[in-house]
Amino acid sequence: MFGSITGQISFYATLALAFFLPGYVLLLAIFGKSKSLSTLERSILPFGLGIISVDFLNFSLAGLHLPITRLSLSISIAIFISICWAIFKLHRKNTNTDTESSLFNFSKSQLTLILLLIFLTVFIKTAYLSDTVFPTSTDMGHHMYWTQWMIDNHRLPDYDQMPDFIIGEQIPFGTIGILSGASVFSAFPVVMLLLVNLLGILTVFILTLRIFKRKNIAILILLFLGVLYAITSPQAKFVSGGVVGNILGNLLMPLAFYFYYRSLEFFETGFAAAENSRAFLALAIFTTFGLFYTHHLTAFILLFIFAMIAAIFFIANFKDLKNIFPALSRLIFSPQVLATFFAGLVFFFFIFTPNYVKNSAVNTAVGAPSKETRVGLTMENLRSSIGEARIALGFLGVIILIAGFKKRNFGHSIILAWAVMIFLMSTQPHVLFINLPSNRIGNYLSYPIAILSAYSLYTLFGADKKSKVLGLASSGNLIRAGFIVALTFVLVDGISDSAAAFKDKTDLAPVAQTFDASNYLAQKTSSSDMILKDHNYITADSWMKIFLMRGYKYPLSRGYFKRYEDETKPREMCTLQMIASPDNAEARDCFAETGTDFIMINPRYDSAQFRKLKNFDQTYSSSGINIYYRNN
Amino acid sequence: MLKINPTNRIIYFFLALFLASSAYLFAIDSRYNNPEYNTDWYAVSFTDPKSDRLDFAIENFSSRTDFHWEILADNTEKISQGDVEIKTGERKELSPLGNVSDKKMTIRVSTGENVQEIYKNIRN
Repeated sequence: MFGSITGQISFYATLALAFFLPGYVLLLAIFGKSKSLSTLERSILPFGLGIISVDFLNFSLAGLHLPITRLSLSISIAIFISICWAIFKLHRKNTNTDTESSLFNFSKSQLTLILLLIFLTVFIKTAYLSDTVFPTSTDMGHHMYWTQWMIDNHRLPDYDQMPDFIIGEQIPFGTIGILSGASVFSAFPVVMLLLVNLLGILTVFILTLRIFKRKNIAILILLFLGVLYAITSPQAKFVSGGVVGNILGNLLMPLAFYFYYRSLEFFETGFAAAENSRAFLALAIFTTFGLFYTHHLTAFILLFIFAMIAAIFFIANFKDLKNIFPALSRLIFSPQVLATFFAGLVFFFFIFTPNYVKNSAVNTAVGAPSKETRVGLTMENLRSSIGEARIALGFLGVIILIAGFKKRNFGHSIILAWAVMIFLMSTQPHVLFINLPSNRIGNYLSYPIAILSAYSLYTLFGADKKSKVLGLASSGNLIRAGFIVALTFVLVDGISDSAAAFKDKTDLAPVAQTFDASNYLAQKTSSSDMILKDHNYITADSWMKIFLMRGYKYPLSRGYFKRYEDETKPREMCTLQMIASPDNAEARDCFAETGTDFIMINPRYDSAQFRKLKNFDQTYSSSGINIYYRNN
Repeated sequence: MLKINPTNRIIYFFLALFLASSAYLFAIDSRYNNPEYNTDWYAVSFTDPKSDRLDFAIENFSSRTDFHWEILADNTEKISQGDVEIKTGERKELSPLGNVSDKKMTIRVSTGENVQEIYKNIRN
């Protein structure tokens, strides 16, 4: 339980001091009090930067062979903050006569709408999470095992060399666990992911505001990405489901795009880099490295998007390439940018290399699609995952964006490439030689589609002259029209989608029974025993390993039945046979081979085959869990 | 009256909402251990699953507190029995008397209509 006031205060203090503050002082060290960043941006950007900074601090501790404890983490974070603060004090003038961009001066009605949309976003997500915050999801259980491992062993997990986990997915949780003492069984992992998810939406809000320079488009982002489809993947469902990499990726990717855009913003007015362009590019590279340390799929997608951004931007500006390349060259070959890039490379290849690089996971992601789930999504699939209203407006947004494309606005290239590339990757993977589950890629499409939806809605209904692309704009009041249309969407599509995702009141007894039985096994067995449990019919079974802490692959698990029939990926059959037919010859060989002596199953489905055997004792019984001991 | 500029209002509002949301989620996160939200089950288990001993424990998460237990040999011959009161949320260990024979020894625990069994196949 983590419900105590002091426990929560230490959690919030950790969020503020270990994540927000490092990011905040990093911005302060780089930009001083320059008004090139608004107060709102200085509040939204630091958390993502803080996560990456803490990643690198943990790598540094690991590289120095220092234990990762509350003391070492606190000292390293304090040193980082002190250095940034000293740089700020030494090199920056505290006075700044610039005025903050008028982009962030919202009218009273705009402010009201922003607050209302933020409220609805948080309210809907919280209402959903109130029934799903409990430690039950399989993915979260796997991630929390490694988090607990990091907390217990005071070092970064090596994942037994498995490429499926990436260090950046565990460090934020491990850091919170170590510094605040929060239990992985509490709500803290879900709350952390909720915060990351919300900040990802706000990052897209400021990115959109900067690119389109229209406050109402940014406000509509809060509607399309925050309020509508607030539950469906990759939103609150991924938060409660512990889809850590995707949630973090959907913060870090827009964050990287934000910094890349700001670094090349000067192209809109000329070819001379602005004062802070190099600093923005350095931060973009820093964020990109952070993404590569956090989630390989998001990083893989980012590479493809980046290729398309470059193609679009260079083709669109073909006649100006003779000016663009020298400008880019001056920007890239600058001390700030090169230092960040090479420091990132040194960390990546010499101090802490992610497992997926060592194990050549890239080879398995590239090639002809090898499974039915990898051959691409249909339009029907996209409609159901992104939402009918949003995808219709999104496609319209692509056409409108192309029609009104501003070739010198790097942001237009980013938004177009973001949407088009993920669309191609998820629907036509064979064209790009991508061999990854298409739905996992498709989950990333909702972010750029939300931006394009907001853009198209604004262009169609916006009141100001600059929104009149294709002559489609009406002369109505944007706020009023937006409200009417928004309410229609909320009632008809977006909210109904969310409503369908709400669960009936969660029955918590199965979770409690799994944990009680796990606790029993932790007390009554040792590492010389081998436990086999069922994944099909036991709730929250992936959390068992955290009670036992005897290795990621302990206990053995009977996986989903369909996995044993997957011809593309043959797997061992022992875990299936030892539960399904514990007395047949193959199963007996399996018991001998694996040393399995305890079996945990759901009695409604799997007890009959054990009850008739004399070499199995039933040592634990509740309505949802039976445990059998092989007694010979 | 304190004046807060519009941008700061967004920041403070978001912060307040996040704090309220997370405080609520923290407040309910351990409901699965709370008998108010997690009723109608209990567990019976051997305290030493690997030996021939028949000592067992009952953990009660149900609203009922009256339990009856009996030990059966080969599911037919009643060796001993007893009643025990266990409050909701509590665990009680029991060490029944009786000869352990070379048979299937079953502990049957009941409360109301709800019956749970554990057993050992004793082979001396």
